Amino acid sequence: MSLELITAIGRWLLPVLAGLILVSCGGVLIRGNRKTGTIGYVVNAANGDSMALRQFETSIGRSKLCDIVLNYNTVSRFHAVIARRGGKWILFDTNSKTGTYVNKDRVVEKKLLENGDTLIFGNAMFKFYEELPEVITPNYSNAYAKPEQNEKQFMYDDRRSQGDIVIPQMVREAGCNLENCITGEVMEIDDMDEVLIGRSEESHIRINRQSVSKYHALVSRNAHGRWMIEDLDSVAGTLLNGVEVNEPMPLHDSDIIEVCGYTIKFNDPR
Amino acid sequence: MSGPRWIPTMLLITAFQLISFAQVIFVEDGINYFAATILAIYLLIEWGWSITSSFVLRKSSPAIEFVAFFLTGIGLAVVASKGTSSLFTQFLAVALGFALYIALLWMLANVDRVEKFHMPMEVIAIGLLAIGLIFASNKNGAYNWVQIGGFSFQPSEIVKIAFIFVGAATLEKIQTTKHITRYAIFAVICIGLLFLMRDLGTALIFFFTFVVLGFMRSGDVRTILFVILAAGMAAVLVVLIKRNYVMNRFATYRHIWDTPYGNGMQQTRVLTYSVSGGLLGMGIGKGKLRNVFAAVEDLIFGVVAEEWGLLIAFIVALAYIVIFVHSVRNAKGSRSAFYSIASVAAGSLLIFQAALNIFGVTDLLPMTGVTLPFVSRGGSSTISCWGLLAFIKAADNRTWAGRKS
Repeated sequence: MSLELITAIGRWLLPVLAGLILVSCGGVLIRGNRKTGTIGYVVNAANGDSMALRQFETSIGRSKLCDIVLNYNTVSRFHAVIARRGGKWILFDTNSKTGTYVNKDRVVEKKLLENGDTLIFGNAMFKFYEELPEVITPNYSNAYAKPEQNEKQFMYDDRRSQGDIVIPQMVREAGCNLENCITGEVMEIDDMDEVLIGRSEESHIRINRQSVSKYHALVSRNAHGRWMIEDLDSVAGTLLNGVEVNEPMPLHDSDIIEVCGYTIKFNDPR
Repeated sequence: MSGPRWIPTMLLITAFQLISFAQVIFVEDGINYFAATILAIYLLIEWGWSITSSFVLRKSSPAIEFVAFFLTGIGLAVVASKGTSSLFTQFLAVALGFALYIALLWMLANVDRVEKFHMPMEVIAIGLLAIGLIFASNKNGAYNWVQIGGFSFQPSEIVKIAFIFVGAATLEKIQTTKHITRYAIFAVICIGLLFLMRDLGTALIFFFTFVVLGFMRSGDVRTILFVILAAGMAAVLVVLIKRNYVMNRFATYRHIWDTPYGNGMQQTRVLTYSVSGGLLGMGIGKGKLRNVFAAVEDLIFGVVAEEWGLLIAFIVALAYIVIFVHSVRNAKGSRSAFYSIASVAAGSLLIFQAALNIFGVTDLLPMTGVTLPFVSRGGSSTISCWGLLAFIKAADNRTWAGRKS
């Protein structure tokens, strides 16, 4: 074969082959990564909203750059990261001011997560699941359900289930109300002057747990008609948005009242 | 392109390389057995990796390696056509680069392991540049070549890998101010040392990569604009201090036809000879640009355009775009922010370097003397390019398809 022929073949064939190589590789490469399916969930204890974890790293914080934005003063701008590494889930605390907790234990740098763990960022509480429980949306028709039924309904293996709270009214109107953060049960309080929270039978919101005092906290109107919360010298104390209630404190829309780990949301649509 | 689906593409690459090397192996005074041997070993490496990757390691999609094999093959053929003396060293660099690629892929497989290498990489990067600054000899105006025994290398090329390695971080690390500050200091030291070595082209590449890394880490355009503005002010200051040096470097830009036998010689030759090659080229080894200084290094794009044709030169340019787009597409859904950031940074670095080279030799940008990734002759550059490719490959989830994620 003469050298001219080799050159001629090369001149005509090489561009064709180069084009085919690029098209063949380019087609595969430009498609990029396959979309990751849902690999886990976090459920907001305040409203029952579930958020799918579709990335291998999910940032949580007050900053808008985070994947899950928690707009609470008690949450740092970049509070924590939930990451999947080598088939395991790990929660990293990214130097948050108020700390990150897994089932009451403060996370020092990082902590391995188990299905159903309770995660607390500032005063925001979440549940972590690898698989979403069957029932997760608030169910208003079960307003008078017994605590046991509520427990089953939410499939929490934690004994501190929010289902233990019994809120006896079920009217959802555009007035001030107190809302069970997990079940979504709502107690309209516009026509009331005070709401007693405690273990006693006469409590308006009854939390049937030993750690809760009989007369634990009181939500009441002051002289100006403003809703306030005060702790009734309870043993375990009461928290408002993560801050201990030592004196009567005013309530604002979306405030979270916490009694021995049970969270109640104060709603004031007006 | 998993399983045997990659075989047709690999056959196309093999055919391309056999035909291109045929013009080098069959010469007027007989057969170039050395070039034939190098080609045979190179084909063995390509097929060996594809088979191992696909069937043994169960890593799917060797497409990104194929693009690199394709570009590297062109570079080897051009070097072989220039003479067998430099073919061996170039091939050795390719082999070393590929070994580094495999080693980095292993290292990047585990994010926790990556974290452990963070600090050593910082030390290596600054150490290499410091060695370069102290011991490097002047070559074409820059003090970036270090001679050890019979070998010489450019520390700045190897530092490119460390720069991205240190710059990328996992999400939990990115969000802490301590790490951001530390990386900013590291970047300023690296770019400052490069400037002192008068390696302006590489300093520019590092700065561009730093901006990309900064954006990927913060996601904040305002921060990046602030960084660019600060760098612009620093550049003005530098120009004022080193006015003569900088002005000399850019004096030829847009004025190459004023001095076609002086400073504008390289670019004018690239433009005229590229056109004379036409769409299909003159044939490998039959061009005239190869006789110009740094033909197979800085001007290799012009050599490809003249001898291989404008069509292939265009496809070579497109190959960098494919690598870049792939690196960006990988970022979404990769296993960690580390991979996303490193992939985009490596892809950006490669395309920016390719653009500096291609637009530099065609006088669309000032000529900075940087190499064309994977294609140009140059050991350090070739090794560095393969190392950078590992970051892009690692970000592709399909690479780890058989792993527990």
